[in-house]
Amino acid sequence: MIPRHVQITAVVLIVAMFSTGFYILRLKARVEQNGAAADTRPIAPPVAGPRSKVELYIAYDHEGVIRARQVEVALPQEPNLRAREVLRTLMGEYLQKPSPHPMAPGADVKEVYLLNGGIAVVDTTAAFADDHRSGVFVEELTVASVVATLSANVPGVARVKILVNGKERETLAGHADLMSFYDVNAVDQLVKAMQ
Amino acid sequence: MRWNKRISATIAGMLLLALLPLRSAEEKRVAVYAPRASFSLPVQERGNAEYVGLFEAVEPLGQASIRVDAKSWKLRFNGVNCEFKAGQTRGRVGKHTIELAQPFLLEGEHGYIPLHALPLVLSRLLDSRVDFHTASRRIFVGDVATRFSLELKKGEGLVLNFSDPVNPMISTEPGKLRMTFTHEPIVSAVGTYEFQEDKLIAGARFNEVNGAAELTVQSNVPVMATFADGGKTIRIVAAPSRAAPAPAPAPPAASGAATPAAPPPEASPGGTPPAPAGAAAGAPSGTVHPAYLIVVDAGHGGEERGAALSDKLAEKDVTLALARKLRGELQARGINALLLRDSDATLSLEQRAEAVNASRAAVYVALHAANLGTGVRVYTAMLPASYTGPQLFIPWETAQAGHIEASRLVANAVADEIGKREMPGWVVAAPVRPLNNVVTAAIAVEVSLPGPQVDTLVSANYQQQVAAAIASGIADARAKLDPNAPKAAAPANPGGAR
Repeated sequence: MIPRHVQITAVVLIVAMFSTGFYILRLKARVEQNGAAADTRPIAPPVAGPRSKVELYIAYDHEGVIRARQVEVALPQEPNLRAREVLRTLMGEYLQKPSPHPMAPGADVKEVYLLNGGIAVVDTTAAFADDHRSGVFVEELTVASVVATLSANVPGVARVKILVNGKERETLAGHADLMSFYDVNAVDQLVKAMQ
Repeated sequence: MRWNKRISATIAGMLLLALLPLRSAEEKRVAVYAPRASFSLPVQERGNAEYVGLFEAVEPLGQASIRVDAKSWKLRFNGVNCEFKAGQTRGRVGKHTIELAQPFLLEGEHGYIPLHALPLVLSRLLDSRVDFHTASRRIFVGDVATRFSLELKKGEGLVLNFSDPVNPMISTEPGKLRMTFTHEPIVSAVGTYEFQEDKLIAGARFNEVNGAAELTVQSNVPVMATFADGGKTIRIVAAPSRAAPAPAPAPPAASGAATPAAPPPEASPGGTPPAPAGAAAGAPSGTVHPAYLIVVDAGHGGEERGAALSDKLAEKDVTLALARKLRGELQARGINALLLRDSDATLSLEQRAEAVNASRAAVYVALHAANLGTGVRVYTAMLPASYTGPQLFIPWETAQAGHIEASRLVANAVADEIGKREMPGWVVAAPVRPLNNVVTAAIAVEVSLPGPQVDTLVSANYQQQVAAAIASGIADARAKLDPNAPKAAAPANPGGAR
């Protein structure tokens, strides 16, 4: 026979658990409703930090190549922020005029999450994909450039996933696969062939 | 012990209660079909009632704007003013007063009305007759219904003729082919069709569910759907069989790891299996070898325009023209070819991969066009090669891995032919969808400008040259993919190749 106070506690805990679950579902639905009006403006500039050398793999549309270039930028110490700033530096190259690989205003990297098992998740702004030029080659240049730059500057990254505004998307602009994880070795081979 | 049982029962009951609304919240939709637009919307559940966003429901149908003042939600639609107040059941649409069964809901700027009031509101706003199929949540504004007739041609297949072009999502499972119409106002007075003693088709069933119409065809053999007449005709025919895979462990030829081996063409009853629509459309002058089926996929289509090659030129139009030329070139070489789309139809990437896998094609060719760079780029999937022998299940995202060597072989053969015609050509691995999901040799070809002007992409001569190069490469690859295959016929139209 279970004591009465244990029974009451169990029932209270169960009710609390399901109430919390229901509340979370409501919050999730509300967030999804507001998702469409998400902010696509560029995000604030990076935090200050010691300057470090980073290797950018920059796509050049006219020649159809990707070339490595070293630049020196201020990087924070925290690994996720550091990875994000590396990719933002790459985006900066593409957003300048004239650009070797033009991208739409507002194209940016919101966050980079470095997970166990060598997985990196890159969350980009909506403008990064919505306004990207469409084509197999031009999209491939973008993806390869992002993945190669990340793997060159963040040791231990083996697979990269690209999200758009926190969500999965089928393709970047109709061609390049964003559902799959990118194998860093395969992308490195591709970049070597494109150099 | 008795309390233990009660607690267990309570937990099970609450779990059930918690899961039921979650499932329904994910799935419930309402479809609105109108002359101007057809679309579907999510149905929100509040308490025990179903609601739908009013602005979202009318915005595709005309000029709509909203204004929110405190608890008053005002909509202006095509010059007609509507007003509802949060928590109240009485509202105004133009000069008419409307009583709602449940109160109007205001969440931020979103105004929600009970679903069952939507037909009445639409009727007032559009000044048109509105029919509501309550159980399936489908709303028809005016006379928009698309009707269809169904004709069984014994031993050949089922022909569906629609009054307007349709573009259903198609899925297959053993013995069934299901067409789901989400954007088409398909209606039918008949629910079930039965066909006695037909070798191919056993029956068909039409039903409406959750804001969509479904037509399920029951078959006695694997079937596939082909489109014709600009999407107004769908033929359900037997899926072509393919050559038996070469003995394991020869990876390039053993492309049937996940697909049952079909008898070789010589063993086919009647000698020649039914040809797909793509092959039947032309008059191939060479000998057709149905086992070597090539599926040609004109990239994009319908609502999905692909790259804007110029102000007027969309990628989807260039790929379709090129696909038709490629079909002709393949047929001229005695190779069976099937177009995944032969009209301006919208197909999802999943639908394309599913159709290719169901067709048991020997080679899949996806066509794309771009205005970046020059020449022709031939792509294979960016996956490491792997061959692990026949498997019951294959991961969708890496389905191509067991066929990557065969794909590279075809890609290199195509690139060689492009080079022979003095056009720049490359073979590159690329993460292009849906190559990863295809369970046979698969390549994508992106055609770029031959000259400085974008209009040169639509030059018939240039497209013919590219199509001839791809077809020759595919014909050359055949002997390498299957050493026992008969030699390809010489092209009947040598003008296509330089």
